Amino acid sequence: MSAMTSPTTMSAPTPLAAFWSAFKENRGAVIGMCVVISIVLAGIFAPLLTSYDPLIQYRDVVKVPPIWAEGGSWAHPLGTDPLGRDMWARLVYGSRLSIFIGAAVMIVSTGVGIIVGLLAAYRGGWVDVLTLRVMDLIMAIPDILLSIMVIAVIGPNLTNTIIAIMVVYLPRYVRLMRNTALVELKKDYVTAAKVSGVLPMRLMLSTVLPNCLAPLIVQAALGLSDAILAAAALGFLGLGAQPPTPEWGSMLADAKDLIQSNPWVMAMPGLAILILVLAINLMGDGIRDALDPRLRRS
Amino acid sequence: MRSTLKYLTAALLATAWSASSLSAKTLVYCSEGSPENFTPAMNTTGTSLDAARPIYDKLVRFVPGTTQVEPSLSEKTDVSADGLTLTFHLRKGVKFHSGVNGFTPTRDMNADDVIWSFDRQANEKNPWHKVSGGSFDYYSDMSMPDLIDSITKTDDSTVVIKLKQPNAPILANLAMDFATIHSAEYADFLMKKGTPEQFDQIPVGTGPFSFVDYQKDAVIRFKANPNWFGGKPKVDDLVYAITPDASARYAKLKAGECQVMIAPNPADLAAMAKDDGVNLMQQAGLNIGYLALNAQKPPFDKPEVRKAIAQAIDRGAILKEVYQGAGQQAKNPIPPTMWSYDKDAADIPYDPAAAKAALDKAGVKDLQTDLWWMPVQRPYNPNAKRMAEMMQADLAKVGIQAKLVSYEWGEYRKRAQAGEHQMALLGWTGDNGDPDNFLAVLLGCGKDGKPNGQNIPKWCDAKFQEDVNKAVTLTDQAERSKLYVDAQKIVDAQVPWLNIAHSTVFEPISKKVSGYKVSPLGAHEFWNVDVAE
Amino acid sequence: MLRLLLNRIALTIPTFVALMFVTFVMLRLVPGDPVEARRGERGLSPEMHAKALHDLGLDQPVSAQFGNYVWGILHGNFGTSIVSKTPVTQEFFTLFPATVELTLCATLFAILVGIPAGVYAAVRRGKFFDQALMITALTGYSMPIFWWGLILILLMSNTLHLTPVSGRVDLIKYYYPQTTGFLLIDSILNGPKGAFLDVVRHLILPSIVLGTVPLGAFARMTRSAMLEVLDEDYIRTAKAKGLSAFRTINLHALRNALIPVVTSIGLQMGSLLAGAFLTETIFSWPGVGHWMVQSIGRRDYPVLQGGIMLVALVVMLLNVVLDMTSGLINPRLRHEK
Repeated sequence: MSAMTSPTTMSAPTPLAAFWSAFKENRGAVIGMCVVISIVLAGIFAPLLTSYDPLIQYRDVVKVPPIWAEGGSWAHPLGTDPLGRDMWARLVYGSRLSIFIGAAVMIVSTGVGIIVGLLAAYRGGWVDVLTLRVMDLIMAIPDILLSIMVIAVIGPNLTNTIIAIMVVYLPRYVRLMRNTALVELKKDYVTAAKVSGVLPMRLMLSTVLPNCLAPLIVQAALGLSDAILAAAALGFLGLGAQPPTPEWGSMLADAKDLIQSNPWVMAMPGLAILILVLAINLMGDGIRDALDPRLRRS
Repeated sequence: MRSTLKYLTAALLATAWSASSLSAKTLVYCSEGSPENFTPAMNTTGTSLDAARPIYDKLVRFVPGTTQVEPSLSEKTDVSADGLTLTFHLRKGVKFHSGVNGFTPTRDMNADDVIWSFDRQANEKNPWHKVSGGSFDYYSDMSMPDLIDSITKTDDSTVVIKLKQPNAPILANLAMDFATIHSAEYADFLMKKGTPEQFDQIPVGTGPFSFVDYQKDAVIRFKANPNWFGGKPKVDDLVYAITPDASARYAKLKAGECQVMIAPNPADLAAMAKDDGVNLMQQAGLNIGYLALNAQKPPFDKPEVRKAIAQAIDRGAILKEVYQGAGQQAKNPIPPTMWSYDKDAADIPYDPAAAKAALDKAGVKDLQTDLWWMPVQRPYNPNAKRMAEMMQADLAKVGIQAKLVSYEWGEYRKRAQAGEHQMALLGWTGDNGDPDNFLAVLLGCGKDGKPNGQNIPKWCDAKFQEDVNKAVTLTDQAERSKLYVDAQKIVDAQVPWLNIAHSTVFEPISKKVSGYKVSPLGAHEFWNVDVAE
Repeated sequence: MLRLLLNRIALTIPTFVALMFVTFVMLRLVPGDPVEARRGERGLSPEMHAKALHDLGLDQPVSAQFGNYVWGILHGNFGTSIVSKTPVTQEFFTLFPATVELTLCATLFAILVGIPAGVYAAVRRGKFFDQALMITALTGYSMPIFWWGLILILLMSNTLHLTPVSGRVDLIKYYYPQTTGFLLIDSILNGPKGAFLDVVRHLILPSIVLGTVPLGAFARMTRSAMLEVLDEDYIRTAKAKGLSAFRTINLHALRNALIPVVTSIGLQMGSLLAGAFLTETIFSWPGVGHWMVQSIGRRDYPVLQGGIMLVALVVMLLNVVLDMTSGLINPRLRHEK
């Protein structure tokens, strides 16, 4: 390992700068981050990247293969689906959905996880027991089955996909928050703060929480990729975003019958999911190593 | 102890099987799913009916590959002049399968078995009615309670059915699977043994094959019945390999792991047609896929608006991309293979410009509507989702915004029957080959002038209803035909629904198989099938 | 020890009861009912519908239904499938061996490939091989398995014809009694020649698909655990003493590095079971996952309820067992609370 080239300034680096200098050491993580950023940008600037509307059906050019395969054409570089919609346009616009779902699940579950976890840790007693039991309950049901059941109750659409995945992944955030907060609460600085009369609310939010952030951020980064995968799996089972929305998982499911005759229509969306998830995981690894090397073993 | 016994019998069965299979001909059929049970009267899905069919016979049966009725257990059937009395002369010396589940029949099939089989369905007080939580769907679907006055035996080989009113399709109904004849003696045997529920799990019948073994989600095994009244079937062992995935079924067919398969992927048909080892059988299906336009919801109450919608949708493209050519564009609500089909009817051409003009003229602007698609693959519609997406795009071109809606399958149909939709995709597969089974069921209205449950377009027309009601009581086919043609003309003018397509049933079979016929009714039958070594 | 065990089991009881209640209520909230679901496009009249619901006991108040249900479970009766009319436990135990066999083979595949890969990467730390292995492991870890399954079927079965596409064994060639339900064992006990190999052939693709994600996880974990151990003093001592590199790694480093890995294998079992649901659907594998996914469409309440309860029971018991064994392996954990 090369020795850390730490800046030789007199003052200690800010946490952010320290994080960045550790993060950029990790080549894989940087590449992952670049890919994630490009996919996000591609989603935002989708109209600039393709002249096609993802919903318009060009009926005379259905199931065109991608450019490198025999019969491909530059008019549709990644080919078209059975309805003649441009694959590249659908993938690019579809990235908006995947990232939106992932981010929404991550933000909401982190938020709810922080509140519930802190509450359980601070109040202890029956609040804590109840929280833990409920989380045990959620974790006892295999996650895909639970999300299918939740969707069956509330109906399949985009918002409900987010809710269903959030319910399934909530226990991880809650338990993590609770456990780290419990450890922090035992530390001296908390006792000191308590003695000096800091209000509980303030104590938790401004003293305990910041010290628990590192593992939470790592969990959120890795949770992002899990949420995207779960959303795609639900889309694959026909329970996610509804047609004609270009969601990657449902695009894959719609092309399942073409596995023999036109395999690339099915292969493309899956590849897109894999690339995005892989990039996020690479980035997540980097964040974890940079924030807290002790968490390496997860 | 009991479980050891079970394994012992299984082992014995296995040796019997492998010993026989050394020299025996085996036919393997790649089926779609596990049967619910083996009593046809309690089932409605083709999968379950197919699984029980080899075991049983009916009084009359459909000639394989057609919708014509021929004698089966009833050698001769007399219909009285008023059409109210049916007399069945039963075949003598027909034996039930021996040795299945420890049961050995002591007598031949007779009138008691026939009466028992119908009484279980009709009579709520019959101790067997409730066994296995039975609901006898087809019996009531085919209006048997309203039709049948009595079933009695004159002697051991004569059964008389008296009807409340003349009904032309009754014989065809009795050729359906729910009218299967069971063994009353086997029922008594199980009742004494205290295991009545086995009646529907371990079946005993008179049919061409007897039941050997069933493993859920894996396999059903049958063996040829040497005593069958039609002679021993040509294959010795019949196996249903349960394979839910269409691509997997095709792979198995190619690998020689099965010789007949159900429901190929439309996208794979082109490859199958080119495959040297595969004989791609086809038959016009007895079905219709349609887009119902709810006549009770404006602006679909106006026939000209409904016609405009029909003009706006490019069915040619749908046939190509959804059916992949495995279907024919429909112009009538009944399929062309059915008698009384109106050959002269003019189809509505795809003409978005005319559609737009007609909509403008009718004062329909910026119409926002819903378009329902069912969440399952059906014989008449291989991919409702893809179809709905295409229709949505077509409608957008004439200025109609259609929102795609779907529900869980049972819920979907229930809501559509309640008329909650504006536009809904659905369809129908015929039961008995009679036009009444389409026109009266799907577009009929009750005496109160309210649409029947199955009438998804919620459309009623007095003249149409009169024609259909009259036709069902007549016995002369030519006269009936005239009335049904007239009824179709009314439908074609009123466009309660857009006729989309009659799908073609494709069944790839191995080139080694001979004698197999594709049934227009969706049945799979193997008694007349042979396999070359 | 025994007290700890009883304590752990006692803790799962309230969860189990709550789960019973939650699944029951949730299933009743799902729109549609089993009677409607089986009727296809035919539909049925309200009277027939009411009668059918009555016959199934579904017209009683939900509280009464729940009471009956709990009463049944207390007597070991998990209900009867509405569709097939057979007891849920009977169907579960016919299909469960298929799931277990698949899950175990997938785990085995993940361990046999993942751990050596992790060890090797650790030894060659920072080298090209290490990086290539770790990127592959992370790719496996990030895999959408429903897509992976289809791609593998396309390549291995449809194009190269190396493996069968679905099912557990060629039922036509190899027909033999299934004593245990585990076909690997049955094929040895009762099967004709070649049956065992055929079962293995059928297991290959599903095991790879299901094992891919844990494989990635194991490889990564083994590598970091190894790295940590390799840095410790006793390894340096061993090296200094002149032990060969191979012996060092095998005898000293690996044994210590494996402790956290073994614990995490257990943790992966739950998510493996979830993955089995998708894998079984793709490969038409006749296991509990496939069975339950189908039952959702049919609204077969007893199967869903019973299935969830039984799966949850297995997961919970597994966790208790794992807790106990990791306590045995690593005495330090026993005293930590």
